[in-house]
Amino acid sequence: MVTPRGFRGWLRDAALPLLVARLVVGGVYVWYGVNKVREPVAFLKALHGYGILPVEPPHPLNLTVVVLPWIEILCGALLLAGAWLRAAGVLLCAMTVVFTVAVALHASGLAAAQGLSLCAVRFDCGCGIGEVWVCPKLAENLALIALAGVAAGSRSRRWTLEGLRTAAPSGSAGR
Amino acid sequence: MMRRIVAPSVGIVLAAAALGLAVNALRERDAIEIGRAYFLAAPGVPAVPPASAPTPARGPATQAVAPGFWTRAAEEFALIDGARARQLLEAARLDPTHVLFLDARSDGHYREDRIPGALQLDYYNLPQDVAPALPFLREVPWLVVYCESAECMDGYLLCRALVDRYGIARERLLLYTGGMRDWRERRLPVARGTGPW
Repeated sequence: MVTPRGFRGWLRDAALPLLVARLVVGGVYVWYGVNKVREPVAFLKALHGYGILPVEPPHPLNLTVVVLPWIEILCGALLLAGAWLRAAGVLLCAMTVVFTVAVALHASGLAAAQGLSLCAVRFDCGCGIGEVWVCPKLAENLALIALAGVAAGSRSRRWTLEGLRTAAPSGSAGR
Repeated sequence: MMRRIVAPSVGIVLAAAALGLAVNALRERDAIEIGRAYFLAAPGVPAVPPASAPTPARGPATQAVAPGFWTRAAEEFALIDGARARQLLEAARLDPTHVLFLDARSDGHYREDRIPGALQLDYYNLPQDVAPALPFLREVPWLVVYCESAECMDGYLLCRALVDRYGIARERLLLYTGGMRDWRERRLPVARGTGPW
C-alpha cells in the first residue's frame, strides 16, 4: 500500500513523474507560446480584455505581449530538454497561478454581468488557443500547476540534460 | 535557492525579453509598438468579451465592447447600418472618388472577404497601411469604416486614430456598426483575395 508520504516521496524521487510533468507542461507551454508569438494582436486584445494592465502608459501591456510568450517557450523548452528544471518549473508554476486567478476573476465578472453560471462562460482567455469554456480551462490550469510543481520539486535527474551533465562514471545520477 | 532558482529565472526572463524584442523588431506585420496606446479609456472600457459569443471563423477577430459603447461612440461619429452602407457602396461604384470604404480588420480577414472596393487599414498596422492611402483619405469626401461586427472596437479605434493622428475631419467618417458580419448576413456582395475590388 502506498502511504501519502510514500506517494510524495515517489513524486519527488522517481523518474517517471518528472518525465510526465516535463513532457506535458513543457509541450503545452511551448505550444501556447508559439501560438501567441504567431498572433500577437490577438494576444494583445485578449490581455487588454482582462483590464489588469493599464491602457496608459501602454508600455507594461505591450511589453507583456512581446515578452511573456517567449518566457513560456523558453521555460517549456527547458523542461522538455531537462535543463534548469527548478527555475523553469517554478516560473511556469508561478505564472500559471497568476493566469488561473486572472481567468477565474474575469470569468466571474462575466458570469455576474450576464447572469450566467461560471461554467457557462466562454471567452478568449489569451492562452493562445482561442475561446475556451472556463471550467475545463481552470481544471487544466490546476493540473498544470501541480505538474509544474512536480517538475520544480523533483530530485530525479534521469533522462534529463542535467542528469547527463552531472552523471558519475558509475551512472548514479538520478533514479 | 539563489543559485538554482533565482539566477536562472532572471536569465530566462532576460533571454525571453531579448528574443521577444528582436522577433518583434523583425516582424513585417503585426509588430507591437511598445510606446503606442492601442486602446482608449473611452468610450466603452473595460472591454468585456460576450460570454458564449459566436466563435469567429478563424481566431479572435473581434474586440468585444462594453455595454453602452455604441451610444457613446455615436456622440463622436456618425453611425450607419447595413442598408445605408449598401447605398454608399452603390455610390462608390458610380464614383469611387466620392465614397471610400475602410476595412479595419487583419490581413487574413481582409483577404477572406470584404466589402467590394474597401481599402485595408488594419488598426494594428496603421502606420504601415495608412501611408500609401493618405492622399485618398484626404481627398475622398466620405469614408466608411467597418470591422468584423458590432462586438468589434477596432473600427471605432481606427476612426479615432484617423482624426487624432492623421487630421481627418470627424464629420467625414461614417462608422458601420454591424460590420462584416452584418454585411454577410444581409447577403450583400463581397470581394475576396488581394486588391480592393
